[in-house]
Amino acid sequence: MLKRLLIAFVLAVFALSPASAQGSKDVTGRVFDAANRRGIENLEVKLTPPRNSNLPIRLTSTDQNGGFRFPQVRQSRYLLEVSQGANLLYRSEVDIATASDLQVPLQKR
Amino acid sequence: MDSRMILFGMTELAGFIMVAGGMWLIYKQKIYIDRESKQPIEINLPGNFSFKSNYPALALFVLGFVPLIYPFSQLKILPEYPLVRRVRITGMAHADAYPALVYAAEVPYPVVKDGDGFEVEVPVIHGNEEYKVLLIVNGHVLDSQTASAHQTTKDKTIPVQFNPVIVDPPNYKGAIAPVPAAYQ
Repeated sequence: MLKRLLIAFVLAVFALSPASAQGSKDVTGRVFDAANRRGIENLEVKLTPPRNSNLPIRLTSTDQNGGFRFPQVRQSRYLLEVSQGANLLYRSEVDIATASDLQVPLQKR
Repeated sequence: MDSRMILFGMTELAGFIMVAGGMWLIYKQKIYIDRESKQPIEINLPGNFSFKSNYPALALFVLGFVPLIYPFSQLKILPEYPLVRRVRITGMAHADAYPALVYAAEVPYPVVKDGDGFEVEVPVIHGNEEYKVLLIVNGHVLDSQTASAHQTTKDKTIPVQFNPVIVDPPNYKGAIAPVPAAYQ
């Protein structure tokens, strides 16, 4: 009886631990021209976690197909921002727990 | 309350005690110089100004006016010299890209359109210390200027001239949501 209780306790601790609740996964995405779905290269993509979350800010740029990839991102809500130099083009809050393929459509000016 | 007011109050009190005490001593003729020698007391003041008196009480009375009046002359200019206590903002940077610079500003001044002026209030600094003034757009430092304390004008401002910045307009535009409170 005592052994079963001990096993149940250990399982409960693991199930409730922050480590299992906040796993990491690769996040990919693409920035593209909404008119012809062509990828846009050399844009800065930034993932900002909520303040005081102690999670790292992630920064990368799009490749020639408009694709970007953030390896091993801790599951949380993030602010996704796409910039071209000093110009902010896109901003949206995303939940990495439910979405790992981020699509960012942009319109030509 | 400004803690300097306590110091001013104490100075005022000391001056008042000196003046009132001097008057009382003169009135009562309680203090005088050695009766035998009859030597007068000589008071030397800055600017080769001196006077003699047989009564130190008179000197006490006259000198008491200095601490009595000085705080009054300083009180009106006190707001121009805000009391600044320096604190240190400390932390650790993990950026994976170096060198990085850390700046701290009390409140940044938003400039929303071309040609708008700016006015950033900063703590008073003395000597040849300098402020670093940055023009930041979307996290990018577009220009950085130095404002020296010794350039302060009569109207208590330090003029700073940024270089004109020409940013190519972006080729694309997208949806820009406002920053949620959790990220501010």
